[in-house]
Amino acid sequence: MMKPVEQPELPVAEAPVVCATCTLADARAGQRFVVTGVGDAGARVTALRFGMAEGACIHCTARIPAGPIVLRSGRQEIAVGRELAKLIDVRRVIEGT
Amino acid sequence: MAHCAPAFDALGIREGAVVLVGNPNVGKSVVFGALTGTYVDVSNFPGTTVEITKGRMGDVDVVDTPGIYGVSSFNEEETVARDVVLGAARIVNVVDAVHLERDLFLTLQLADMGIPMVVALNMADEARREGVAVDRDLLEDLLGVPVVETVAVKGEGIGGLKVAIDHARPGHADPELLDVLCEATLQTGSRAEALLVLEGDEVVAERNGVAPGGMRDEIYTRRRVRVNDLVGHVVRAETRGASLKAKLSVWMMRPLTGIPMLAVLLFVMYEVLGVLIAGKVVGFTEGFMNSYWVPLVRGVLAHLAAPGSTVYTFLAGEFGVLTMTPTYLIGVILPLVTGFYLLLSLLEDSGYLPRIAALADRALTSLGLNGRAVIPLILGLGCVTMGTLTTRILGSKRERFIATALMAIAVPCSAQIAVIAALMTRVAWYDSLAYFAILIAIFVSVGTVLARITPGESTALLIDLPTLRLPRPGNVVRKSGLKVWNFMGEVAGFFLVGALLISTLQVTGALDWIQVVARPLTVGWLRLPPQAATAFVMGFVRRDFGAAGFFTMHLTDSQLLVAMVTITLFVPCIASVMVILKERGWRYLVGLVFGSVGLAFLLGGIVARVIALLGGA
Repeated sequence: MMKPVEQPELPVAEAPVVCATCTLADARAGQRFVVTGVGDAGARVTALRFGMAEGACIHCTARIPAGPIVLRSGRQEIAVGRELAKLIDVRRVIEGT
Repeated sequence: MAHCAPAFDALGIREGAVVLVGNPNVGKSVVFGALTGTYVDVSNFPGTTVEITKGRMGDVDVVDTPGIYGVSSFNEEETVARDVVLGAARIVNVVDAVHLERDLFLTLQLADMGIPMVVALNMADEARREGVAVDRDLLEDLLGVPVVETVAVKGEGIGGLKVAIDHARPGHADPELLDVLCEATLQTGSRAEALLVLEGDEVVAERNGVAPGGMRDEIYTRRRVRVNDLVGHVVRAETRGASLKAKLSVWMMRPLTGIPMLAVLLFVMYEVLGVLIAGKVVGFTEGFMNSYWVPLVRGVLAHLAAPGSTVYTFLAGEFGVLTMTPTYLIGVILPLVTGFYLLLSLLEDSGYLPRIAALADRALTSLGLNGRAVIPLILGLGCVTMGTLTTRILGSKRERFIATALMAIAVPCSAQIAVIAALMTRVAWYDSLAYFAILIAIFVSVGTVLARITPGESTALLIDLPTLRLPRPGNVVRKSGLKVWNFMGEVAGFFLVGALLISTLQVTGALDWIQVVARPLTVGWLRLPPQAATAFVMGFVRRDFGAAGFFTMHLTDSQLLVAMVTITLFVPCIASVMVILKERGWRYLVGLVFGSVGLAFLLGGIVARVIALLGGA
């Protein structure tokens, strides 16, 4: 597993989000994460079924303003409501490391 | 297996049934159609509103199940699928070759259950186009069951699948899980049920008189690891850059681009349903029925009963069972419902619907719902009855409560929209605009109030976004054809009863009496002609009946606006009332009926007064 490190050169617009551990609600489009915990029992079952539970490497494809976070894992894409996203712990993976 | 026999008996499913299982939107019903041919039988699963489709392949019964992501009891569709699966002799598991990471999770659960099965690797052509290569031979080896590549929409691979069903066998289960299962099976007698008990399924545990197990997390996690491993071995996917599809997908969900796209869609729907079908097609079909069918029936009947007699009125009068009922069913409802289901199937097949859900999530959250509720709400635009049945997909009782009320009060159904669209051509543009503004305001206020007062908690959105694709015409026609057929069968009876009811009111003179009694309300409060009472009574039979009633009255623009607002908010039709009673119970229904009638008249009267203040005609 790749270790999270300080991001060296990110565009200014994305600069504020540097998290070793954070929740999915902080995800921005284009970022990659490893899921570290799903805090909601029902969502955990669904996450396992879709292959997005603990240990899964996911990619945020869109962040709908004030709305859901859109995630992709392999060819599977799902939309997660903002409130639920706050209950999903992730670890940011910086590309090129 | 013995536990499920009653349900199977009730559905007339014989022993040795082949059951189709798969995730939603993998082409399961197309595979079902290809296996069984034309004769199918649709019935409700006992004790539920979930429909089960049954057909025959030679001597064997074939049963289709609702699309599910896993076998358990998280919602009604899953429980139905679970019980059908538990009674299956053999399973055809339909998987989408493009989404094996998702679909194989269910496949491995079925393998762990130990029921003989075959895997149909469907949409093989689409997978190739998407740059996904699946090693069928290796998948077959690793799963331990026959795997057949199919392109069901084109009928490819169906012959091979039929042959493979004879060679169905239990798949390779998780070896460590097998040890645990071995012991648990001694208690339940069936490995499939033992697995569900271990996974914490309370219903199955209770049936077996044992306590539900607490191994779900462990079993699911191990299963997920096995799926990822399998996919890693059998799938070779080219990684491609952000394609147009991926961009389009994001545009559909972002408000800035998504709202205009949704507006265009709704405009197209309105043009097709309201203008083309409700205007031109219905104009023709209804005209045809009125100028050929009705005179024919009346001509023949005049020889048997005197015009004006009770029998004549019931059969061929203004609301006659042989005149108005078929004219309305065939001339008006059939074209509208067909148009609506065709559009809806196009939306479903293209994958746009869940993206609308993501777009609307923020707005619906403030009404106590989540984005998923757009699906019943859009269906409600077609038919409130249909929409109410679909509230099942919502995650909590609270959401089902709110969505049902919103639909019954503030969402006009397609038949009603059609009549209202026709009425609208008679009024000035600002009256039409006022109608929409009032309706949206009501929708938002009712939702906001219900979100405050309804107990419980709403669930958050978590929805699968299937790959966008051009709808496949064969699939769309098949799906919508089946739905139209079921729907027409369902409403015909209610319609007949409605027509009889109105004729009874007419023959007994009750209609005139209601007109007199309701005078203070219709004339005094709403400032409409006394005949409006008839339209409201008819509106209870079917919402569009009510709106249509205003056609023949000579109303001013302002009266039309009042009439349209009142009749839209007025109680849902008899068919929806029945479904609401069945789904939500009588207390809910009584509250809803009083609430919507009260709100309809209150607002209608207020609109009438505001117009008068503004100096309208």
